Parts: sequence; structure tokens; C-alpha cells
Amino acid sequence: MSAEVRPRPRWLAPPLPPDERERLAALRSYEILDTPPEQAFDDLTWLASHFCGTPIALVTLIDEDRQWFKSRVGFVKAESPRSESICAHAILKPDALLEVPDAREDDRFADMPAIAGDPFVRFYAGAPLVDTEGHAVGTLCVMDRVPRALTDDQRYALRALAAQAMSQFQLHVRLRAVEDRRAYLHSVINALPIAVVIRDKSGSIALKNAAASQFAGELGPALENFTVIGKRGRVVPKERWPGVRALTGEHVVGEELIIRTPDGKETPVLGTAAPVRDSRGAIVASAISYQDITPLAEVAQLKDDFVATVSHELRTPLTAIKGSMQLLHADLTDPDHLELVSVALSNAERLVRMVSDILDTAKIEAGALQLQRRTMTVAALGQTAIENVRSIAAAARVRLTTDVHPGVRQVHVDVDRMVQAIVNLLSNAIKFAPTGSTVTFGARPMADGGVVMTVHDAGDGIPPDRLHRLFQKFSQLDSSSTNQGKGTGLGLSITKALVEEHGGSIHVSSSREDGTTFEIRLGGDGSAFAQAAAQPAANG
Amino acid sequence: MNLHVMLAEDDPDIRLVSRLALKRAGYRVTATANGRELLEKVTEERPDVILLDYMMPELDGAEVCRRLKADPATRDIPVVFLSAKSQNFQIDEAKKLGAIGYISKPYDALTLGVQLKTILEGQP
Repeated sequence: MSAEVRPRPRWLAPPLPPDERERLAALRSYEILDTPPEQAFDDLTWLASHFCGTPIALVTLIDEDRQWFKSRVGFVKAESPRSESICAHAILKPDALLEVPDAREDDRFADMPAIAGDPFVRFYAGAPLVDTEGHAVGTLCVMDRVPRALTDDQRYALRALAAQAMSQFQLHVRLRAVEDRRAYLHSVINALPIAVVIRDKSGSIALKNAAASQFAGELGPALENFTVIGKRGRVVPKERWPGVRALTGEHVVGEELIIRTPDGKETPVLGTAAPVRDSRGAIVASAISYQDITPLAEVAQLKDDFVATVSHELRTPLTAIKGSMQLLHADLTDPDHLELVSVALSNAERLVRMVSDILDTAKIEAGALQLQRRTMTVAALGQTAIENVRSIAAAARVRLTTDVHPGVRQVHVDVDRMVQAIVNLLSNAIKFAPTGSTVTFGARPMADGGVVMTVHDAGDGIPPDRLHRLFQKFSQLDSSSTNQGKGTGLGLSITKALVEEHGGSIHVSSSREDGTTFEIRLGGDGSAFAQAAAQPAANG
Repeated sequence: MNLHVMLAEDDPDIRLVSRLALKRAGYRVTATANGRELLEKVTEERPDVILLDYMMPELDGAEVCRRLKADPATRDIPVVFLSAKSQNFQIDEAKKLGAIGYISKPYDALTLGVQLKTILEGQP
């Protein structure tokens, strides 16, 4: 051997696999390079080293220009160049185990630093780590300092452990996706401007968003110390809270509640709750949202104040005009003057009616109608209403009668409002009643314990195609045979709202032969009746 | 002899109409523009009945009534409120303040006197 001739180093730099680009992308997607050691991988290398009887075992990941060890037994370096890697050869055949009985005798590896030098590896066996797409991202390998071979069992074990290592990577990816999803949802929930609370099956609070924490922070330390107040100022027991009801499957939508903290502060909220179900449909939690509606409540208050103020401001001048006209009218003798003042007076009256109908409608729509109920006999209600319309009936030459059944109970109603409803029906009836006919106010008990009040006129009836629109705002029937000035078109819609506010209902039946009958039914559920109201005779 | 009514009503037009309506119904009327004026003149005038607008600036009807009822010299003069229905004013509230009744606004100028008489006659 000549001294000038240096032997060619016995070392083959590993070629790149055909799927190198995809393989690297897959590896990077695990985000596992340069992460700290993990017990799961250390267990796998320990098992591999133990089972194969080798002093060295590694989980190796082949990066672009290095190999990096996620776990190592019997090996000092954390990484080394890819060009010096036997594992980089092993990944060239993803389906096969690369076994090198004696690396010093193999031209591909003999002069690699780890073989020619420390730790003087002679034996190598590596099972590729292959993902579901078939890309080999690294190996689970074992090494020894003496030449040898694996048994079939050991080969099988090494491949099985490699598959486990791969599962670990994929589990990582999935866990991270779940964590990302969780963080995403959490930030979405936190970004919501309304308070969101999740109650678990036992009823305790599992999660609350930033708005809920802020809400709770403003109101007091723990949500559980709140008092929840419902309609009419009644305290809602905890088992009736929206979130607790949702645990039984109920969907609670936009319930107006007031939350009172131990320090006495009250916040109006809109509460919504829905059950949360698992993939099998079982209720596992409830999702609750509370929207602070203080601004809305303030607006409602503003509207109430506005209605009250406008009511006063509009009515005062009208009262002055009407009163002046009335007093003047009573003292005038010149027929022309009388007629002029009559025109002014009837128009002032119409304006008064319009103002009060518009204000009533505004009140109804604002939900600001407050009933002041007291007990009264139906006969007295009817009488009061009839007194109200006596003068217009006289002017229209229509007779007024009452027909109240003796078995009718007393009712518990807002007398002014119920009289207003009956007056609306009566004046409507008078308007359409033929001259010389009779308008009747009647009442009779209903089978369910309620009462039905009726107003009947003997007019031509209402065309069937107009019946359904009767209770809509500004729906006016053509009253060519009118006995009275035009109405506002609001009377019947107000009447309907007033009756419904009392928990009752309004109905109409009409025909050319029998005229028109309006019915106000106050239900048998007792809402419209006083506790002490007299019972109708059961065995009369 | 005609009953003497003292009236407190801040709106001058309503005051005029009310005064003429009551005069027409046979009352002797002393009209004042506000609660303070009424309180100043009431001991001297010694009316048979006081008609108080419930909603007045400065001293409202409720406060005027309270002061009238607190003073032994005026305690026994019956008070009737004039109040708009929209204020949800109820008879119980009037009674609580020591009044004997109330008349809803807007009232009918032709029947104001009768309404007042009915309330006074309802008194024991």
C-alpha cells in the first residue's frame, strides 16, 4: 500500500427520501423537535434497550440537516449531523427494519464518527417511525458496541415499540388540537359582551367568562349568594333559576329577572339558559347567559316619564279649550254661535280621545300598563261604563240596557281600565247601532268559573273579511250611518290589550241578521277574581 | 249660603276654567296659582273645601296637603285632589294623605261642581 494513496473513507452520506418535503412537513407539524424529555418516550427507549439487550436505545427524529433525539438511553449527545446518521438511512425504507450486524464491516457506515470513534457502535437496528400517510419521520433504534443480531421476537418488539412512539406523536397532535379548540372557544366565550356561565350536572359552576366574572366581581364574590327576583318582585327559589331548570331539559329564553347581591344592589338582567348535551344526548351541563339590561330599563323608565309628561302637557291645554267651550256653549243663545262652538267642542273632544288613545297605545307597547286591581261587581262595572256613554247614546237616539245574570261573581280588576274597555265597546256599538235600536251590556257566568261580559248592537254586522283585522291598530270600519264623529282607530286594539293584560280574552261574532256581539272573557283561573269573591250558587 | 272653595292650580287657563265652572255651579271660589299662595291665604280665607292640583311645581299637592293636615288651624278643612289618570293616582293614596277624595283630570267643566258636591256629600 503506497503512502500517497489514502483509502476512500467507508462512509455513505444518506440520500434524501423521495417524500423528503412532505416528510419534513409532517415532522414539523408535531412540534416536538427540541421539546423536553417525556416519560412516555423514555419508557419506550428503556423497554427497547431492555428487550433487545442493547446498552443504547434512541427515539430519533430526522430533521432537515440533523438528527435529534427525543429520548435516549446510553447515549450522551442530544443531536448530531444528518450526514453522520445511520437512522437517516433507516428512513429510506419506511416499511423495513434496518439491521446492521457490524457497522465496521459495512461500507456505508464504517468510518462514521460514532462508529470509528466514541461510542464505537458496531451493531445497529432501527425501526422507522411512520405516520398514517406513510412518511418516515425518524426511528426507534437500538445499538451495541459489539457485533450481533436481533432475534425475531426482538425485531417484532422493536417495530411494535416504534408504532407506539408514533402513536404518541399523533396523540400529541390531537391533544394540541383539542387544547387549541378549547383555547379558541374560551376566547370566543370571553369575548362575548354578555355574562356566560356553565353549570355542571350537580348544579355547581364549572366555567364563567370574563363578563360573568366582571359581573360577579361588581355584584359580589359568589354567584350562589345572589338573590334572584322574578316578576312582581317575587324571589325565585334556586331550583327555579334558569340554569338549574335547563339541567332538566328546559330552554329558558329571555326571562326578565333582577339579581340582588348580599349588599342589596339590584341589577336587571335578561336570563337565558339551555341544556348542554354530550354526544349521546344526555344532559351534562347547562349554558346560561345573563345580559345586564340596566340601560334598557333606564330607557323604559325614560319612556314612562316621557309618556307621563306628554300626557300632562297635551292634556292641560286640551282641558282648558274643552272647558272654555263647554262653559261658553251653556250660555250661548245665537244658533250660529252655538253651532260654531259645538264644532269646536266636538273637535276638542275628539283630540282628547286621540291623545289619550295614543298615550294608552304608547303605554301598552312600552309594557308600562300597570293594573291597580280592586274588587267590584260586574253590574257596577257595567253601570259605570253605561253612565260614561249615556250622552252619546242619547245624541244618537240609541237605548242602553243591561242584562247581568245574578250568578255572576265579583271581579278583581283595574276598574278604570276595565270600564275603559267596556266604554270602548259600548261607544263602538252605539256608533253602528240603527237609530231607535238598543245596545245591551250583558254578563253571565262561564262553566269554568269565569265570567263573560257582552256588548251587543243590532247593526248591520261586520263583513266577515273585516273581522280578523278588527283588533289591529288603525283598522276602522266605514261607518256611513255614523252616529258619532270619527274614532281614532285605536279603540279596539287598546281594548284587546287591556283585556289581555287582565289575563282575559276578547271575541267578536257578527251577522247581518243578529248584529254584532263583542265578548270579554275573564278566565276561570282566578286571576281576575278576588280571593273573597262570592262563589256562584252550586246547587241553586 | 254658597260653599266657599279654595283652589290651587298652577296652569292659569285651567285655573280660569275651573273657577268659572265652580262659580257657575254655585260655589264661591278663591283661586290661587300655587301651593305656597294657598297656604298663605288659607287661614284668612277659611274655605269650606280645598281643591288641590296634585302635580304642581315647587310645592306639590301632596306636600301642601301634608302641611294643611299638620296645622291645627287648617286640619279640619276637607281636601280634594285634582289628578291626571296617567299618574296612577288612587283613592287610597289620597286618603293616606288625609284627603277625602280626588277628581281625575281632564275633568268635565260642566260636571266639576257636581263631582265635588258628590264627594262632599259622601263625607260623614
